Amino acid sequence: MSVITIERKVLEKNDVIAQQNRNKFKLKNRFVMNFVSSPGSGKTSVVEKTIELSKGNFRVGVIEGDVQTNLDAERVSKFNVPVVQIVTNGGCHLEANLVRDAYKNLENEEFEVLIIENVGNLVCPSNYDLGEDIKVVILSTTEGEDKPLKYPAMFRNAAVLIINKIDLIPYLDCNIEVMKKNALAINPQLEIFEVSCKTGEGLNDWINWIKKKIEKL
Amino acid sequence: MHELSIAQEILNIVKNSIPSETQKLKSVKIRVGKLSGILIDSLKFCFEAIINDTEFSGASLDVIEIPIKISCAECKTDTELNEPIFICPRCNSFNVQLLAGRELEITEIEVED
Repeated sequence: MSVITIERKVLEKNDVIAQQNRNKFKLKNRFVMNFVSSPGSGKTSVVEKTIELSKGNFRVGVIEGDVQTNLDAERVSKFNVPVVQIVTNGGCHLEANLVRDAYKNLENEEFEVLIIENVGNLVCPSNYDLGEDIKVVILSTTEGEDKPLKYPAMFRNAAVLIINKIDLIPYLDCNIEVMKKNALAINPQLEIFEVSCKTGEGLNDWINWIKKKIEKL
Repeated sequence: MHELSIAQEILNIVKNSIPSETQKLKSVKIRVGKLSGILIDSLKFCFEAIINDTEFSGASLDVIEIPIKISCAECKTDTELNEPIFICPRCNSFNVQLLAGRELEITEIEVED
């Protein structure tokens, strides 16, 4: 019997491609955000609102990830921005190679901000670097204030937390202060935005934050 | 949820690491951090399933679970955490760095000579 030392990361192949993606994004000076959340939190609505409010501020390109259908890409394409759909056919997360292939169709388009909308899932996407600058985790008030504690890896790895559907707070038992406290216990550096894609509340702060990020690039 | 694709990646790396095709794989040792989002039982189940009826059939997946460990920048103490609440238990500071807990690595394999 002999023992062979390996010492390799299981996801090293993904990490290598993610780094190549990152280099490609840098070449074009693009700010890249990976949107992650559970299904139904309003990821696509935040994408739509970000595009809508970006007019005159910055241009957006979108990679849509879904398990099935290209419904999200159809929603986004109404805004006349470059968009590519990835259908994972059952896969529960996006991987760097899928983003690499999708980006080939976007590379020569004109935009400063790339949004990658991941598959709705608060577990698996946290393991896979796609080459993004930051992860943005979206959590809606209907999901309850305990989610950051239940899915710590995702909240620990994100730079931004968008709390969506704040217009529903009067009808829910959700205590948004507890939600924020829980999120900050997992990740004290989190930048938090409280928004409603329905009423538009809070979204200007989010857009201004992106503008500042791009200015620094 | 993605343990099957993780098991597949492990097997790919293992295949490329066995010196000779004639050597039978006995075990694979991996390190899995408590914050890696991996269900160990599920990963073992998937690994067993994909090696079934292959030349690797019967090989075991030995998992070393790595606890979450933080280092406090204020009181300079390193602590292992049972829960992923990133506050120094000694001085209650939020100013902590994650030292361990995100691992997902293959450390060694054992083959018959």
